[in-house]
Amino acid sequence: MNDGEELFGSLIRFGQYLRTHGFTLGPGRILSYCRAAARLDPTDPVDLYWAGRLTMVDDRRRLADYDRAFSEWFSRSEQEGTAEQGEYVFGGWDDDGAPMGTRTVATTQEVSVVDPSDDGPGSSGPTASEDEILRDKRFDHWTEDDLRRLHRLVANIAVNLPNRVVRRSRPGPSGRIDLRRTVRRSLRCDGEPFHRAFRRRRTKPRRLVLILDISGSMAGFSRPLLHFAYATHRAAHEVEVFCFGTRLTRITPQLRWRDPNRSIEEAASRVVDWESGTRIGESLNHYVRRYGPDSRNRGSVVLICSDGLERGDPAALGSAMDRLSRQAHRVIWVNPLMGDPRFRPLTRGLIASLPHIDSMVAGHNLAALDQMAALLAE
Amino acid sequence: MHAPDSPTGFSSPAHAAQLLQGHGYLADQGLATAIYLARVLPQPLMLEGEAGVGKTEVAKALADALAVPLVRLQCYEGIDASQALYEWDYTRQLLHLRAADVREGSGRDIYSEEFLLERPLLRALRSEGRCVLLIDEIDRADDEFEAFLLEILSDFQISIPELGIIHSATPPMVILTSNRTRELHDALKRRCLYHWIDLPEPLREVEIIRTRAPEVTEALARKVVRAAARLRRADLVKTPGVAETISWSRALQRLGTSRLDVGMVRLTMGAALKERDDLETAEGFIEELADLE
Repeated sequence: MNDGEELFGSLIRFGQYLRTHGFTLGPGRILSYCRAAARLDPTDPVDLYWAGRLTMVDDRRRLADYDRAFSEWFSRSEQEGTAEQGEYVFGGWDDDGAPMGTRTVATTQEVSVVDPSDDGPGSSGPTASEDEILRDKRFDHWTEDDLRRLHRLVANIAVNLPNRVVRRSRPGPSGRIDLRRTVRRSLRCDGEPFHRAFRRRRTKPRRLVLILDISGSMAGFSRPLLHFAYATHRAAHEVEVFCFGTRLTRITPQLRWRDPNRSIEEAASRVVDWESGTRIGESLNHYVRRYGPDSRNRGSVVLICSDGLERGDPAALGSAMDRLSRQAHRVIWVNPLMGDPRFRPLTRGLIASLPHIDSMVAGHNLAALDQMAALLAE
Repeated sequence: MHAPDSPTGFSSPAHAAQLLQGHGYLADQGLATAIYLARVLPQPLMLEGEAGVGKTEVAKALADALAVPLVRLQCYEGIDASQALYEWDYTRQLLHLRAADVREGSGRDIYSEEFLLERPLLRALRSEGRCVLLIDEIDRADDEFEAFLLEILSDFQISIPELGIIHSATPPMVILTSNRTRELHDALKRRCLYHWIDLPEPLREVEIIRTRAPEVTEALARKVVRAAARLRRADLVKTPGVAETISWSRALQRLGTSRLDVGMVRLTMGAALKERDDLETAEGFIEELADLE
């Protein structure tokens, strides 16, 4: 009996140890783990490994973290002898070992501290005329002060995404006959289907996919679009956001916070190649292979924000754009350089992409973003 | 060692692996342990992995091994309770009401068993544990359906307002598969055991081909596996899974060839690669796919 209790103790401590590696484990999961271990041979490390992996890991991307934590735990408990001292050793383990897992935990905590919501939305109340002036000011000329108002201004842009027909139906005045409701109603008329009911297919706004160039030349323009993405996402639209400089990073999960600054900060910390070079072709290629085929990204409205200054192979960009145009409902290229009337799309990358773009817009200031939003609805 | 019809079906992970092998499925230790635990705890088992690693096959083999029927629910966008659980047979109800017109017909008795159309989930619940329920590609269904499933998988009971509560004392064995096209809800994952199926090691893959397609010679299977391994290292839109290597081996065997030369590869590559871009990519290193004897 005592043995059994000790065993349970060590199982639970391993669960707690995993928590320090960034695993979110409720008591239910740990209970599952204990029950699974009890069904197997708890003295056999291989069985313990599988019991833990099957019950406490639910994401393939965490498997490596689990493997690391497991081997650390086992090498420790072999060194320390019995698991009895487990709790005392705890603090120490955090500090020296645990490269990956603890880092994940640390960053989330760090971010939540760094972010004391310094931007009370419009506490001093800027005047309307100031906002008017900002409307036509190029984003890369905005001051820090201006940028603080960015979120509020961008959130005012009305976004209307085109609809698509989904499989589900809802009652309507015409369409397919709705047998279920027709039968219900017929009961009132003694089984005579006198009042017929109908259903029609429901529609849903299409998803918006933003692919933002954050290389050096574009940094000033990408931030407003990131805010735009966030505001659209907040307005209960389906939005996916990606950033690229030299490689593509998906930052949608980082935009989930209510505080816009926190969301943007977290998104920024995910991206490793801020203001680096540009490899549009390769990044888009990654998108069309990895994310494009996802059924939810198919038929979406894709916004690419970039100046099109490709350092890589323009042919690769062309073929990626070709594929993208076939996956997407519409492809809109936002090119801040277009704000300049002398601009001609003559870079090789742009020439290769042009046949696959539905429209190219400027998006270099708020007024242009407004126009772009109007274009989305088409 | 228990007989296959013992209450749990499996006495140990090794036993589970052995039974599955008897029905043409080679499971490694992780998968065998997962299946064993799913059976004895009992808890639904969530399988993820690249397309073509045999997620769906597990459920089929498992149903055979346990000698119970397989109840399959294929998920898709917009699937709802009437397709997954039950539906009333309106046409028959209507006809019945019409016929009952003459006699004294009340509306009540048209909501009885007789007019109930069983869909996969209800069928599985009513089997009293004597079935394997496969919920295939759950990631294709939408969030609402996932929440609905959660309710069923946690209590193994459903209520039909007109009939009452249907409860399964012994829950059926449940297998869910997902291709990771979207993130699943935490709540659903928490109720399941989770197992990621990796592509098998080359030697194991040869064994798998030989089990699934006994007509293929070992030498040929080896060649195909070697070529597939090369393809998987390349940057392809869709890397070939085990299902593809099996069908490729079959195709070659059917053509009566034991050699895999460049011409043969080119003719049959369509069994493994299903994208035009991939075929073009593979063309670039096609000599490496052929065996150089």
